[in-house]
Amino acid sequence: MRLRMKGMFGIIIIVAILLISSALYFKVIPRVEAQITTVFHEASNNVINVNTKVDNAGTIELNDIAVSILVTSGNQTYIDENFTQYKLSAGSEKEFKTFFYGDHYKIYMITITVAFTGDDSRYRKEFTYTAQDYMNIQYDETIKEWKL
Amino acid sequence: MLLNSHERRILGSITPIVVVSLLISVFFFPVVGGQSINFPSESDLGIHDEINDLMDEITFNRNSSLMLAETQMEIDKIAPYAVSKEHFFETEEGQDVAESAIVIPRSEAMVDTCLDTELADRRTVVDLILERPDEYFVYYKYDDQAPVWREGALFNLNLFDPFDPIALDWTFINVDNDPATGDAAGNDIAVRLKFEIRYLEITPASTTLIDIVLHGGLSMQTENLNPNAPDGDTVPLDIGVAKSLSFDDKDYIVMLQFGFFDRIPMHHSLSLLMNVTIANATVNLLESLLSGDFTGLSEDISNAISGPYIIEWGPSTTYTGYILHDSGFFEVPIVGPLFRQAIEAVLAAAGIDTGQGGRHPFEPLAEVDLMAAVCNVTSDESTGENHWKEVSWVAAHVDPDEDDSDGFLPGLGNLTLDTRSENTAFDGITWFYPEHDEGDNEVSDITADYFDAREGQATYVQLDIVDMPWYLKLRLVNNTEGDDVSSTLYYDASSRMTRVIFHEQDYTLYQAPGQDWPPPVTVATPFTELHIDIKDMPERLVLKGSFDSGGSPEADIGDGDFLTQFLNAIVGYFYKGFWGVGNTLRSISMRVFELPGGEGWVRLKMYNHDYASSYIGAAEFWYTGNRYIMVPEDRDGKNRGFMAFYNDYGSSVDVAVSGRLFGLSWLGASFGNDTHLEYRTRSGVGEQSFELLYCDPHDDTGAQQENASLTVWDLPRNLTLDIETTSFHVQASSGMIGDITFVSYFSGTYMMVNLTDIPNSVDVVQNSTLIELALPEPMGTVEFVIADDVPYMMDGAHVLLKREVVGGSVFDPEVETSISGRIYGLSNLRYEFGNRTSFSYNIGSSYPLYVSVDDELTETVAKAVINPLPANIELDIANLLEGNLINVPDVGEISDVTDFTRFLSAMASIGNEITQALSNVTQSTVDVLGDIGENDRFNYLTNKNLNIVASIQKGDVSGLEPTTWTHGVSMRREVVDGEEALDVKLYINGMPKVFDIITETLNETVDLQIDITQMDSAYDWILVDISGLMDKDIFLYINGIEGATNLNMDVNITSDPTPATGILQGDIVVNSSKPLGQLYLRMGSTNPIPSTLTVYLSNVPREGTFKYTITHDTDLDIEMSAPVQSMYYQLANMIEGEWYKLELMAVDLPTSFSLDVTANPEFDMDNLSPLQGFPTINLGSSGDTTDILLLLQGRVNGNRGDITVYAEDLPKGLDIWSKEEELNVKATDGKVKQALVRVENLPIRKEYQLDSLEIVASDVAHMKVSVNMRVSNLPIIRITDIDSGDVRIKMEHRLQIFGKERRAEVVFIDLAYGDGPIPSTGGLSRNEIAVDGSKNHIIFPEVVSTFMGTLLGG
Repeated sequence: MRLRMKGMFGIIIIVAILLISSALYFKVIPRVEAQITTVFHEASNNVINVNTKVDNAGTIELNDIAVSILVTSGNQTYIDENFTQYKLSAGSEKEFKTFFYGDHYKIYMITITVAFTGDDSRYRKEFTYTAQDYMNIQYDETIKEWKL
Repeated sequence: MLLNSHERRILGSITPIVVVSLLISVFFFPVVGGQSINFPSESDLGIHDEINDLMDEITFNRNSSLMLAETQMEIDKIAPYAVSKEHFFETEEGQDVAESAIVIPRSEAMVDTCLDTELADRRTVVDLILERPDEYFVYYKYDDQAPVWREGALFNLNLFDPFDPIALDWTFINVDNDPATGDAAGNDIAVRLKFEIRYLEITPASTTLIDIVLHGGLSMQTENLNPNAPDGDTVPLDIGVAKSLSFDDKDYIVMLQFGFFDRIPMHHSLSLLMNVTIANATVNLLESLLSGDFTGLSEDISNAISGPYIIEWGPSTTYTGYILHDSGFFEVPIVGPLFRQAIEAVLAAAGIDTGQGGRHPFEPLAEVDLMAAVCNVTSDESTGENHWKEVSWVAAHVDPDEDDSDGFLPGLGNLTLDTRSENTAFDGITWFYPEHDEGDNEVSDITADYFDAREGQATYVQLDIVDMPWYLKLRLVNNTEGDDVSSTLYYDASSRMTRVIFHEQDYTLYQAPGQDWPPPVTVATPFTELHIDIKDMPERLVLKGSFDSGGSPEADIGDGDFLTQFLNAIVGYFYKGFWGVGNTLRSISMRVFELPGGEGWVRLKMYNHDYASSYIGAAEFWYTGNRYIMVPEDRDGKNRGFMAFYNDYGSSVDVAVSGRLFGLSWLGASFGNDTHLEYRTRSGVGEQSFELLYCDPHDDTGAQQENASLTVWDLPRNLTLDIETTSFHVQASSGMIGDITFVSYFSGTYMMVNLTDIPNSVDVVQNSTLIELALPEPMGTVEFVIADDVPYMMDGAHVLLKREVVGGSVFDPEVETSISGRIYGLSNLRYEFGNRTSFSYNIGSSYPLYVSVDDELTETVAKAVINPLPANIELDIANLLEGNLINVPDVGEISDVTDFTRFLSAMASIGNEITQALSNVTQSTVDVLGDIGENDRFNYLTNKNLNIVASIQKGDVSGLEPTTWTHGVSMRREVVDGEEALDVKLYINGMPKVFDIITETLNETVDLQIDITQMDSAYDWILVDISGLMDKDIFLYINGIEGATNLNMDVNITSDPTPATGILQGDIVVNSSKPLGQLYLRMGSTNPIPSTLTVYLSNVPREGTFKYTITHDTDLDIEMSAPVQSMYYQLANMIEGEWYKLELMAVDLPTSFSLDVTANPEFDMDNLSPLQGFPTINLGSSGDTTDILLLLQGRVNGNRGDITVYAEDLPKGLDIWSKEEELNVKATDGKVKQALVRVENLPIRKEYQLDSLEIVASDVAHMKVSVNMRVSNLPIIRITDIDSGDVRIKMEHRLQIFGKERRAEVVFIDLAYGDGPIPSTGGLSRNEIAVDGSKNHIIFPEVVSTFMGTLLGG
């Protein structure tokens, strides 16, 4: 029974440690962290959506967010859109939507460029993907920096 | 689907029994299906069976034996044959081309020998004074003996010598040196020069002064001393006198000569008579005049001389004393008795107080010569030898007319020059035989020569007049008023002259070293010749026009004593006067010819004495430097009038002109901005042709290089030509203009144009953009042939092109071309070449037209029969003639007679241009066939339904699929390595009477307008079977075209089937007078991608409007006057070597039908509903029995998946739209009786791929469906607001588990419920859901069973 109590206490201690750690990680330990999700989606009538979502998963507000979505195939450019001057507080997110009419059977090159300012630092990163074969493709990226 | 550690632990805690039970249960769950429906295959709806039956009908129709009889057998009638070339004049020398020869002036012995006499030195006034101004020389030549010159006696200066006038001044000549003949001294004749007064008027100016008017002059008198005259005459004898004179500051030798042939008259004289008016003269002057003592007189008479100037030949006058009478040759009116007495005293002192005066009796002469010469001498300073500087002589031979009653010339004749008007060169010149025999109108024939040489140039004129009348007068009147210059020349003769030939040659003289000048027998080329030959001159002629008849300067007779002045005046005024008449007449003639080049007008009228209209029998003329054209006077029994131009290179004349006119009775012309020409010929002149001829030999051989002839057959009596800047009008007074034939050889090209039965007027309008020919009624035939070598023609109305490659290289082939054509009844022709190039015509009647093209250059063989040829057509030929406009001669530039030269050569050059243009038309036509629809317009109007049969082959057709005769078009075309092969067979029976088609093409858009009226064919079907046209294959078949049918179509279509980015758009309006039968259309294209479009309609309503737009959105609107029983539509694209298709079939298509499919680009990545982006679909219909079947391979338009849609009894309205996660389906005014939607081959995502989703429903009124993929990529489905029969959903799909793709076995749990939240029924199914359409449903996957089922069974 004592052994069982010890076991239960131990479990509680471990859970408490995990909870505290999680709380420290998500809410207390300062960091800049942006999770970038891009979805390539083929709908009917030749519609192709390319949406990019920026999720401020860090503890520091992100300012002056700029997102660029470029979609090409061969020599042809289908989307070349820029979204600027956005701001995200910690824990918030923003989805940037674009679409074009295209041949679902073509291979598309997707270039996502994300830039923002967090804790007086400027972050910029470019991601390149190749979309083919499937009607729905999701790409996940993270930009993160500790601010201890 | 991946399992995390937590899932694995849960799974591990479930007892194996549960697991096994669930697994086993999956495979034993019943399939709860709804009502099963019969899924239609591609051949369902019966449409493919209909199409197959139609294909059998087409095969049967196009291969019938009747078809062959109506096509190939007609084509076989086309058989070109070689024809001979027409030659309307022969250009070889000695045939219709004549060559002028230089006519050497005949020798005038008196002139030729004069230079060797002392007279040649009498060339200054000083000499004349020193040597006695009254001195002269006598010349005679007997038979063929040498000429003899003798210094003559002095003048008989005593005008009225009453004693022995002969004794003082005669020169006696023993012509034959025979003392036995002649007078007692052996002299045969006596000759002298004598002053002669014919009229004397003395008027007192004051008590001491008088005004004297004297009419008289100088006379050369000849006396026959033979007492036995005329029998003992010494003839032939030339007798003359010569005298040195001075005028115009030059010294001249003047010669007068008479030639006697049959006898020498007893008393004969040649007199030069004029008027001398001396004002305020003293009586002493009169005394001096009468006494003959002129030397002391210094009266200036330079202004005293005036006309008329009379040359008179005939019996000498006689003077036996003073004669005073009221009439006759001597009249001396005296005013006042005292003055009269004084004058009479003067006359008495001169011994002139009594006696008779008059003329010797008239003496008949059978023929006579006259010669007058005026020459100027120069002296070689080094040698002192004399040479001629100027020579001018005129000689005439006069014969009595052969019809003259007595065979002798009239005894007295004169030539009078009247110059009274200061502003006119002369008032009149009169030829008069006052003593002609009564009844003899034509009294003489005259042959005259005139030679003039000076300053290196010479003129030699020969004039022959047959039947010279006894009276002839030319009168010149100056009608000028202000700036309007005009004159009238009157010709008046006592009778018609039978013939007048005027022949003039002007040439440069060549003086050989040491040769006297001028050397009349040595002529340096070039020379020019003017020849006019008039037959049957009218009695009266009036030439009126805008020419100047201004005066000519009088001779300057210089200073000197009275005698010198008087002698100089006589010759100077006569010489310059008559010389001026000739020049004036010549200048008027030239002015008439020059008028067309500038501005002015002229009218020529002819009359009889009674002023009835008269005519010139015939006039022939040429103006040439060497060769000229002269054709025979008749052809085919017709008088042959012509005007010809011979481009004689190297000649002194740029273009030799020659011509002949018959029966001209009236001529009017005005020139300026506009040109008016009008002529009339006499009635009874007989049928005549008129030819415009042109020859350009290009070398000296006269070889046939370039020539042209335009022949008008049966020239109308009256014809008017009006030529304005942009128009040309020809009008015949009555009847028809006749036939016109044009033949030319130009730059090796032969061209013949034949026009027959031209009506009485022709209008040609020409400006910078238009040529139009208009006739009041159809002409007979228009026929032409143009050929480099052998001309070919065909029977009947036709167009023929035959071109053979005879040498050269591939890049520069040498070809021989023959083009011909013939049409009948042309009444209008229009050729417009401005912003648009169009061609139109109008013919009075319809007939078959045969077309043959055999072109080795373009490897084209085409034969066609159009039966009948449309009576009216307007054809836009911009593409056919692009860059190859035919340059038609500008009628507005024809303002000069010689402009016809350029017109003819330009006409001839048209042959080459037409050859080039038609050759290009051939090429372009074939190109158009291969590239039809490029901004063309083609229309025509006819009163009959025409049939067209045509066979066209180009290039090597052996590799093409064979064409077959069909009612319509069968065409095969391929381009391999740039080489085109084309094979066409065309047969259309009963083409519409009115046809108008307009096509405009811009990129992938074609605008087509077709207007067809009264198409009435023996066939109720038509087939267009084309491959390789504009990279397209077209197969169109329509039947049910029965009876006369009108059809109007307005089509605007854009065809770019490129997936995703292309567009298919159409706006089609069809209007027909009656409904048509089946329509089958299949179009194939390789541009921009290989694709085919197929349309089938079981019946074509009378009216219909079809609008569609297919991009990412689809918009379809159909309005028809009647339902269509069945319809088939197929679009197929070849992508990466594979064909993908869209097929749409419909039965019971209502009169009104619309379908809109609008893309929905909304997408939210956090929304897990797969219905996001579902398009909005709106369907509208006027009927509710339409069945449709859609078979779509998504790749055909760049979409994922393949879709099959079948719907039976579509309602009048059906709307499908999505809203957030919810899809709404709603039918209005009816239900969808049965429906099937099947979606296949959707790679939804890497973890889940839908191979097939099939939804079958019945009696669908409305429903709402939401789908959410919240459970491991598996759907949760809610169906609400449903009013439907049973709905069955069946899926085939794959899941990726543990990195391996597996066929999914999804177990669905279906909970059905009504209005409340508690489910009423429930059920399990695998990969298939069947729901009750009367209840709401929630359907979700059972995850565990799905996982296990997929893991174990997938």
